[in-house]
Amino acid sequence: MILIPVFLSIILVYTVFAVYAERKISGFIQDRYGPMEVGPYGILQTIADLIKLLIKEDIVPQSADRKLFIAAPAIIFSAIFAGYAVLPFAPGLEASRVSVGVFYLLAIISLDVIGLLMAGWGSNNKFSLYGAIRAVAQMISYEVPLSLSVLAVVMTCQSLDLQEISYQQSLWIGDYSKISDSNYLLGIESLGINITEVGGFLTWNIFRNPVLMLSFVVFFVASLAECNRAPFDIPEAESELVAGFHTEYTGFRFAILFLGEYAIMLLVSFLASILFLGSWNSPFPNMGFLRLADWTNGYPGTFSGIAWGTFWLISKAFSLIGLQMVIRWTYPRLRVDQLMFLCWKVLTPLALIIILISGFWRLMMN
Amino acid sequence: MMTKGHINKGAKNTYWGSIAEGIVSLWTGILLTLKHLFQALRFKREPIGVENKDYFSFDKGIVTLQYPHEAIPVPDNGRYRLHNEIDDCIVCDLCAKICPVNCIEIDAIKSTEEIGKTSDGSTKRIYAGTFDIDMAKCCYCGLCTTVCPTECLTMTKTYDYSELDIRNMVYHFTNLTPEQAEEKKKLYEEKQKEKAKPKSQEAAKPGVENTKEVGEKSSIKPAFKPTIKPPVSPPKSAEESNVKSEEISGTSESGEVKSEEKKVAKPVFKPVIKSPTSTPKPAEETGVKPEDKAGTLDSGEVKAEEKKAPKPVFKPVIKAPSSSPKPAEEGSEKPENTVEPSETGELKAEEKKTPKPIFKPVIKPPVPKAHQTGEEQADQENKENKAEEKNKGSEEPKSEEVKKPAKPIFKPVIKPKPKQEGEQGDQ
Amino acid sequence: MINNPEVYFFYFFASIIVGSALFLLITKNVVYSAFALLSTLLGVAGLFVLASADFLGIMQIVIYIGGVLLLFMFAIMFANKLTGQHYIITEHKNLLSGIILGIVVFIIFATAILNAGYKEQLSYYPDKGTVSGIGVELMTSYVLPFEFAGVFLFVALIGASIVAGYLIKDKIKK
Repeated sequence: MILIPVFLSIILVYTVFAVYAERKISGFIQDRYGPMEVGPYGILQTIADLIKLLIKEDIVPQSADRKLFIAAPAIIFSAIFAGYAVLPFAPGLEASRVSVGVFYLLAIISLDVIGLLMAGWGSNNKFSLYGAIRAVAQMISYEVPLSLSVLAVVMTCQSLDLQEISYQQSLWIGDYSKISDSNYLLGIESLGINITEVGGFLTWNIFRNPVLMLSFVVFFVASLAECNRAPFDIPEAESELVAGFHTEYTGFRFAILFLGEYAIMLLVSFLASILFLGSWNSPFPNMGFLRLADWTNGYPGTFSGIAWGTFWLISKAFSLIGLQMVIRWTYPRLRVDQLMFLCWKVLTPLALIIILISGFWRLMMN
Repeated sequence: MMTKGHINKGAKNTYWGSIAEGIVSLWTGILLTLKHLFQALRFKREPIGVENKDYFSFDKGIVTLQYPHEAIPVPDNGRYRLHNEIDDCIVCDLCAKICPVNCIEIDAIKSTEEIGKTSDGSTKRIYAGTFDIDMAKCCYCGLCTTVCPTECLTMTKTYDYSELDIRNMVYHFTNLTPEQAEEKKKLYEEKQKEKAKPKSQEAAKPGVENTKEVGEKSSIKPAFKPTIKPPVSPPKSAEESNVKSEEISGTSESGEVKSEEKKVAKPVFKPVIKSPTSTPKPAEETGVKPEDKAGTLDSGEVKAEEKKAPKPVFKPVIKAPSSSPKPAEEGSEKPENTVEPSETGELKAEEKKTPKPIFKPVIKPPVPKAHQTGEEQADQENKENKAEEKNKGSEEPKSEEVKKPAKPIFKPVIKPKPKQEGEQGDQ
Repeated sequence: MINNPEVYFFYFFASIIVGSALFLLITKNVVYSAFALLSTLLGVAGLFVLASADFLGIMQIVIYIGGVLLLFMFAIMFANKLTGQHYIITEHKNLLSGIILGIVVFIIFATAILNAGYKEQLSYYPDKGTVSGIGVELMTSYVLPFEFAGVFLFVALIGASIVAGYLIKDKIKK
């Protein structure tokens, strides 16, 4: 319960600076400065924008379905925010340790879809409705490769519990994991190289089971589509649909939708880091007398454990968000048929193959 | 990657080919943007103009400038906001006439005596009651500065002068307050009343003054004449060719029934026009004289037409009256028609070729009326002469008030005087 | 028993379910009933979680909300497009027989549940998650129905794609 306002404020601050970072990155990619006027290097620009947004008039279109229109932003944001409940930010620090955490997050995304549909339908605007329909079609489709790629991880870790998955990638796999007690190089026990004490990036899931590297790519692409991020932003394609499902939203409601959009980016980035990139574990391994992993990780439950864990998880998630932003400003928007081609003919078969291989890999692990 | 790079574009649209091409192009794309991302962090362009030899050396990094804080210097020949040095302005109205978008509005007030001299020695005889330039309309062509005889109208380097209210884009350059302007106007009107009896002369004077000024300018400033002549001469050649061709066509092509008549009619007609026009002109106009004098019949025609040509509205009106007298002269109806087409055709063709837009301004419509009234008595030749003179007079000063009163009654009278005074002015 | 906070949660979820189900029945606007169904399903999921069947609760959300309800909404939206109306307005016919039928069904279910003796069998109150138990049971005791379900779904998938494919073929021929 205490974590709710903490997470909420984290999301707010993150969103403010993510918007700033996005504008800066897009500027630099296009050889521009980006915002420069408000505050040093324009760092307060988003805050100024936010203030402007909050003091704007709150308009509900006359022919919109008032109840749905008003309820939709709340549903979208609360659904996404509920997803943060199961994220393990550090060893021993999570709002709720659920045994079905991964599954829960996937379910959250389908709730988000309902919210989008509500917003698009309630606006009673053709652009909004088109945006909503596209969003729903896209998100339902991409849930398939997303779930399959997550399934590969779940098979490797044999758990749906995000904290359990995190412990398995940590130095304390023996003490805290309920399923396995030691890590081997590339996860294969028969190689005989025990890296339980080495830690670092070598015990990340993508190295415990190298097939998961491909799975990570599938997950990342699918998560872009789930967030409606470019190049999968056809639901809010500004050149065709004005702004998609949030065309009619103004002021505070728009701010909430915007917040939800950035919150789900952060959510899937957290999920990707937890599932594939070692969760809250440091990327530095112990090498001989250089105990980098020991130095950059804190023992679970201690303050340093929480501090290091939070630091690593958040920095991993932010790197992924940075990658999302670079991708957004690099790739053109996909056509609908290309979108479906990528989903059903490329990512889904690839994810199925990955599941098959990681099943065999699991047999070799232990 | 390299092996995939060998694959044909889209690999003939095969499944694996498309995927491979997709991966390769995605990779290339993200490398490109990342390159720009990191270059933008390290390099930036300096605010130097294109005249600097380093201008093209900034090929990496941020290309934009933070404008209000840094700006590329404006080149010396940059054309931006107009500025009028009203003390040097003789309110000749040339800028307003040449302006393709009519962004200059001038209300000229005749003074009763000479106001003063400009810095280059021209005499100022007209107050600018209003001299407004609407920079919101301005298209920055710079024609007004080219045509300005005293070079008081210039384009400055100021380009950042946007306003929240578009009415603030109208720049007022007059040095008179509205009350002062009113006062000057009254003063002038009173003077006019005083000279009610010798009105004709008085009324003529303003026009004369203008011509004087033109004369002064032309005589003082060598730079001025060339600007007038070049536009004049090319149309001539065109007109000459037109004239000839039409004459020819008149003879050969249209030689149905009227061909002979036309032939007869034209030779008779043209000489009549030319001789009167050619004689007055030399006296009237300083710059154009040589051509007139040298002019053969053709050139005489040409000039008459040139001057007419500027008036798109004017000529059609002239012809109608001119045609009515003709029937009386030339008996048969057909000749009239034939005469008109030949002349009007020529005229019209020339009109089209010569730059109309400059001359359209409101001034002309009143002119034709004046003509019609005056012309009923006069011959075609006279009319045409008048037209020419009016054009000459109106082209430069263009102040409507002057002409309107002057024309209806005075035209016969006007002609001789302008010549004299113009000559005086020249002297 | 009242001291147990779970009871309050139960009543909370139960009231959500009953309230939104009633609204679903009463409202004439089909879109509203679809969204009422959403909250009904969410309430049921909450009850499942409350009964320590968290896997089932999540399944409820994923399948019924993420799948079925979304398809409902799509159908509603496209039907709406066809009729040209803004909303589909339903009518309440046969109110009396509906109420009688509902009461009868309720009585049947209630007696069945009360006579089934779930309370006595519910001595086992799972402490940890149910996921592994479900997995083991699915792959051992219930592998036949599980496989049957899989085959049925696969058949449905193929059937759907064939139907859709025929439509496309017809269009191409034309």
